[in-house]
Amino acid sequence: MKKVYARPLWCMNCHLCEVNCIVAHSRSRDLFRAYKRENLRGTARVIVEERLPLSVAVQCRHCDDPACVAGCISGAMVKDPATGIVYCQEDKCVGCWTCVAACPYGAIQPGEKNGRPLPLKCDLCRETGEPACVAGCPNRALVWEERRAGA
Amino acid sequence: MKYVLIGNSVAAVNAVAGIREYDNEGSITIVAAENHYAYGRPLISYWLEGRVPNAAMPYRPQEFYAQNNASVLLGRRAIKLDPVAREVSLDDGTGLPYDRLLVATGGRPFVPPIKGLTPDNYFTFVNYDDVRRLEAVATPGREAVILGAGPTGLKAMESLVQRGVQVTLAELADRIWAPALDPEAAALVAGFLQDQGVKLYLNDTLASVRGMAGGRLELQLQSGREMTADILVIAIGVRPNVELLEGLPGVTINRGIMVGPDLSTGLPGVYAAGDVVAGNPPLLPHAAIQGKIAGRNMAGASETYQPLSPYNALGFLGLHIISMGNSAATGDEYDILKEIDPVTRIYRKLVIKDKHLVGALFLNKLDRAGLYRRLLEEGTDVTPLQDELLQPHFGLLSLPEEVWQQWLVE
Repeated sequence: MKKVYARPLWCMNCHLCEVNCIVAHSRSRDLFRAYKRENLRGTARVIVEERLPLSVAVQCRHCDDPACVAGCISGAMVKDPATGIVYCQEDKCVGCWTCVAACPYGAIQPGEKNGRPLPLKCDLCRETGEPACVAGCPNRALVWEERRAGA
Repeated sequence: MKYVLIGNSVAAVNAVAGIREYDNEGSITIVAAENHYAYGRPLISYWLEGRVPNAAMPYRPQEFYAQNNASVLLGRRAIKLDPVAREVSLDDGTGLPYDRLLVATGGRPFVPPIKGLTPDNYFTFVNYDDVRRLEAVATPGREAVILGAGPTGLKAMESLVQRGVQVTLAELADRIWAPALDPEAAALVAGFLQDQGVKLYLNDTLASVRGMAGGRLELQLQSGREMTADILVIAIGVRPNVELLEGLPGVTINRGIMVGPDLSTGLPGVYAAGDVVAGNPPLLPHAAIQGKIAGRNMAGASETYQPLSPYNALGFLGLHIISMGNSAATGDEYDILKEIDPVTRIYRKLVIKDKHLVGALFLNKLDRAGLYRRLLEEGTDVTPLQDELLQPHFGLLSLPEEVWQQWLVE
């Protein structure tokens, strides 16, 4: 499957991937409205780690046998058999955070949206087509491509 | 190939998915003791609170069964297994022949003998039907006593508090959820519960119950303490439902069913998964993974179940806990790293033994919890990471470069 791969040597630590992620998952798809009206600041589904001069955007690896799906108590977290995308059916999530404990990359963070629990994890922008973090990365530090396992 | 799955909870549903990865042809029959399609058991407290409606209870959508060509016999119990004829008898007299059988019968609440206890004066907190019964009586202003302050008792407490019930927890151990919380963490949680108006009696348990006029109960604790209540909930653990395999030659039962690394039981074609398996912590993620692997193996794969350390995420009344491995450990044989803020009730603790992370506990600050679990599961030497482990920026980049480079391309 096509996944997002991070290339730390190209990462400029600009955090635009986080911003674009938030906008892509907003109702308005507008930066100002997403932050100021929809109150989505802090809900990025990608984590930019910094260990300067190194930085890297870490996100869900869409595992073959996802521990978050196995751990989900409500059945909200699923892996789409057709696309391989691991995503949360947000209306089914109860916010127990077993997925947070499960993820071998620490790539799921507990979050909240409009008073409802929201596991912050990458869904490869399944509703829009192309991952916004990749589209907006100014230095191709994030790429979206098919690679062979272990490549 | 005929597959019969006894049990219709998380292990069985994952077994269906596992079977279908290898076999699209064979027939799958699920025998479900309850009259409900599979639901995540931990959801029952959310249902009682009103946070999860009936429609959101199912673990998988209704189409799941049709899509996987699995038929479900609701409200049926398997009562006898003939491993030679390879047939299971159900409580309605039908016989189900099988080529591969999964025993995923789970567990049932343990109810100790207590003077005066009768089936109609207490509740358990495991099944959908348990909370349906509780819903009728858990009304604002009533008083409940919950026996057991482990995860089940705590979730029962939360849902009853949210319904306006005054709750008292009685726990035989010297602290809340003793297998997961060390004394310091348990004290933080106890303080939190006190602030929420929940009463807690430790080192104490129920000695006798007596029904009084008007439906109230008179309870006497072992310490001699007496109290009255409207509702009694018993939540002190579960026992595996092993009856179907009891006494059959080739099967070993040691509280649960003993299984091989491929989750086979010793009877030809018979596998077991989930809470019924000996030595398996009765936890949902473990049941899901075992069910998936058992299903695959039943359909011809040869996968090994790697025993997984217990891990648990538990939230109640706004407090969140993640525990993994030997999270309650104390003592000189361990190196323990800690971060504590009593005001925000943040507690983060890592337990290191012989260079390896063997336990972790996080209260109210769950950042990157899964990363610690991976270090624990993989037996990574964490000595070089000691100074980094509890730093706020701890992440992949804290690990050796060859490790994070590899993880990024997985």
